Amino acid sequence: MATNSVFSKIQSFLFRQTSIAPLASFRVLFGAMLLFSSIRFVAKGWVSLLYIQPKLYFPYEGFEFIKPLSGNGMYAVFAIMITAAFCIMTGFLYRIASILFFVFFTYVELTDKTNYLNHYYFVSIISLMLCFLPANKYASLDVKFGITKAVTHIPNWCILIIQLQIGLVYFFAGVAKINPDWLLHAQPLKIWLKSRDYLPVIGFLFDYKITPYLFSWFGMLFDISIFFFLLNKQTRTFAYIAVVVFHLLTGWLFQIGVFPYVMIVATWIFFSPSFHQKILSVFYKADVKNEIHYQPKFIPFWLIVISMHFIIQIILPFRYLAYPNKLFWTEQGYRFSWRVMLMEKNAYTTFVVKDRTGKIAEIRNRDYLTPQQEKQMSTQPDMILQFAHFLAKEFNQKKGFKDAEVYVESYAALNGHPSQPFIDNTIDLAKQPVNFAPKKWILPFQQQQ
Amino acid sequence: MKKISSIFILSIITVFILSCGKTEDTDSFGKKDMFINYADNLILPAYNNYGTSLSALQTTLTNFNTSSDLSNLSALQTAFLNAYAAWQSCEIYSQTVPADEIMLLENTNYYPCRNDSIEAYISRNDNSPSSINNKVKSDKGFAAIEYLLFSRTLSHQQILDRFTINANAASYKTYLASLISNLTTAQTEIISKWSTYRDIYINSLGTDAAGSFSLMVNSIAQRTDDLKRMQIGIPAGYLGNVATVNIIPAASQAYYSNNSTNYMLLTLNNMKDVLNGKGTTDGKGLIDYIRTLNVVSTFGGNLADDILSQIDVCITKVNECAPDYAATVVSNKAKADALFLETKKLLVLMKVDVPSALGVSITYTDSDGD
Repeated sequence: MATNSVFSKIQSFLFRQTSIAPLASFRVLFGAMLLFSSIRFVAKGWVSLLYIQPKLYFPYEGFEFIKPLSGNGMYAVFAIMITAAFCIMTGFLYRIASILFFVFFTYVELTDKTNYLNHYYFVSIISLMLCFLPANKYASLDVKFGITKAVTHIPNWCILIIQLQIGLVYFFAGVAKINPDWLLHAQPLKIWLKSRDYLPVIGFLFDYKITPYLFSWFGMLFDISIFFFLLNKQTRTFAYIAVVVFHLLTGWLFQIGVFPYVMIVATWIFFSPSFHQKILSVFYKADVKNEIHYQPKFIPFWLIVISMHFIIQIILPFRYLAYPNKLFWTEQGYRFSWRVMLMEKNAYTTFVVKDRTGKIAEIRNRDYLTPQQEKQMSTQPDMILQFAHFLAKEFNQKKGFKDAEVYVESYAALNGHPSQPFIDNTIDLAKQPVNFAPKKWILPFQQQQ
Repeated sequence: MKKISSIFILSIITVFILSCGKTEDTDSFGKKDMFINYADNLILPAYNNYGTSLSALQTTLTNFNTSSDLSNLSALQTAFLNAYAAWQSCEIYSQTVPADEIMLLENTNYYPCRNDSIEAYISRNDNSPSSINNKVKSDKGFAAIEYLLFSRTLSHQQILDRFTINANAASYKTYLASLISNLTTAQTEIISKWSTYRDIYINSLGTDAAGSFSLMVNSIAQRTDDLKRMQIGIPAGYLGNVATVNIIPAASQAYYSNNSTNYMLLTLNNMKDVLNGKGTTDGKGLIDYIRTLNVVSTFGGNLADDILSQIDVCITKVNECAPDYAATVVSNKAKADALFLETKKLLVLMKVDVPSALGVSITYTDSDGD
């Protein structure tokens, strides 16, 4: 009986009708953000820099078949993304636009892990969700042109899944900050804030020993709790102000591009339907006077898919527990876990290719890699391995080496610790498999006091 | 929310209380002063001093062309060595914006030069200043001039004969003159670029891609890399970190005039001065800043001190390889190996520990992070 009533409560919570306004205004704002950031990406010349100029790419394991298009193909991809983002924003041919955006955006992200950013991953997930949500059924060109029928109410879950996804991002970003480097040593903020002490107004604060600790603890508490404060009606306004201040501050202090604005825009969805209604009514006079409810067929299949998604979301950040050694050092299980701004890591990594006939070559990384690729590769073992495999193939095929062996000498420094040997230079990485098994050739991190 | 705002307000109050009773104020370091010191006390004087030495070289060249005798050749050689020595204090700035833009290093000091291709150009009179400018880095610069003016086998008279009685004597002279004017052109361009860049340089205090911290750290790290690789490693048979059997003594910098170890010492001593911010006067430098950070190095000591003492270790090892590095790699390779090993340790400090302490990225590129 009791379980039954809990179940029915959950059911009514998920399926009760609620105003479409928050979803519609989310679509407009998020679409605008996608449009802006795609145009910015092209304008900065990054399409060429990241997807045309490189001589090789670092694919994700299992996605090796995904490669950038040749010639100016990637510009075409971005042209499609920009158009699709515009259509999402205006709600024109929304369904096809949202699918196109998700597919092409995710394709671009999958081509090279050099460019992995958590907020790109976030954009991928949200744009996937948008493909299935009726976000164009209000305040859209689709409604205006009669492509779809207007509705005023949708099931609650349509908004909840976006809120939950945003909540998970913050919560796990906060959980990731619960580590000794961050809380006990205020690293890497100690290094980063100090390097910005010349900034006007608040720069002087960064010269105090206590400042990075306050920032670290405040950041952790903010990330862990903000979801709950945003959900709660009483605290929502303050929480949103905190979101804006927090993100603008980090956006000013650190080179993190559009990420702060993406989050400022995304968290807008936490506001109440009536608030959204009020804002929307300024720009949009609803043609419909009556409430029109929309109840898509919610087959169990979708319930399973959505549940699976969130279960995976919750498990992924913890997969690092399956690996030995320090997470920040090996970075096994690091990505797709909302770990943001946790590391100041530098490495000097050099490759030597040999073969049994006595041929030997030392690699100048920049002969093959862009500066950004070299920087990311140097500190990330999975990319070091991929580059080693690339070199073995290159030297076997083009330089007449026989069974090329690749040895890596690398020194890395992490979060204020002095540099130390990073990779076992006696192991031929060409023979090491590219997979998810623990990489035994990463030397253990030596904690120094 | 109350909790958060109270924590936030509490944080701010705490900081302000602390700022009243501040015990250690590191803000007084003055990053901008440091970069002003670099620009006005080190970088520009180094480039200007180099310019003066090039003018002197030009004068001796004119004398030599007017009267090609042994005494004018000798004066020309001396002026050349002075200019090459002056350059050793400039090369460390090769990754700063103006030098990078005009590829100053590639135009000035790549070695070894390609003797056969230089001879081929000379024999077919391909020697005008504009054609030199377009040649690849191994056909021009100090190494090419040195090849023409010095020799380990020919006598002074035989060198002089190249420019006087050789069938291509006139072309030798023109090629030499074009090489020298190419250096002067690049030096003039650098000075003019710095006149506008100085303002940007002293005001870009960040650790981002274009920040002067990044540029200086990258530049010094790259100079250390070139010292290890080009000056020390390749002649001793190191392609990189692994020794091969093929030593290449003639790949040493300043091989023909036998100044390899002299220039290594100039490089290392200059690097120490640059880190210390010591030009004509002793100002603020990166080492002074690093010292305020109290960072422990991979050797276990204070990073600032460990860098300076590692440079001293390298200097000691260079002295053990003196006076003829090319001969040392043949006859006493263990000494070159020891020097290589110590330079590599210095390089790890420069490429990993220093950027980590300062929070600068070692390869600068404009992109977003998260």
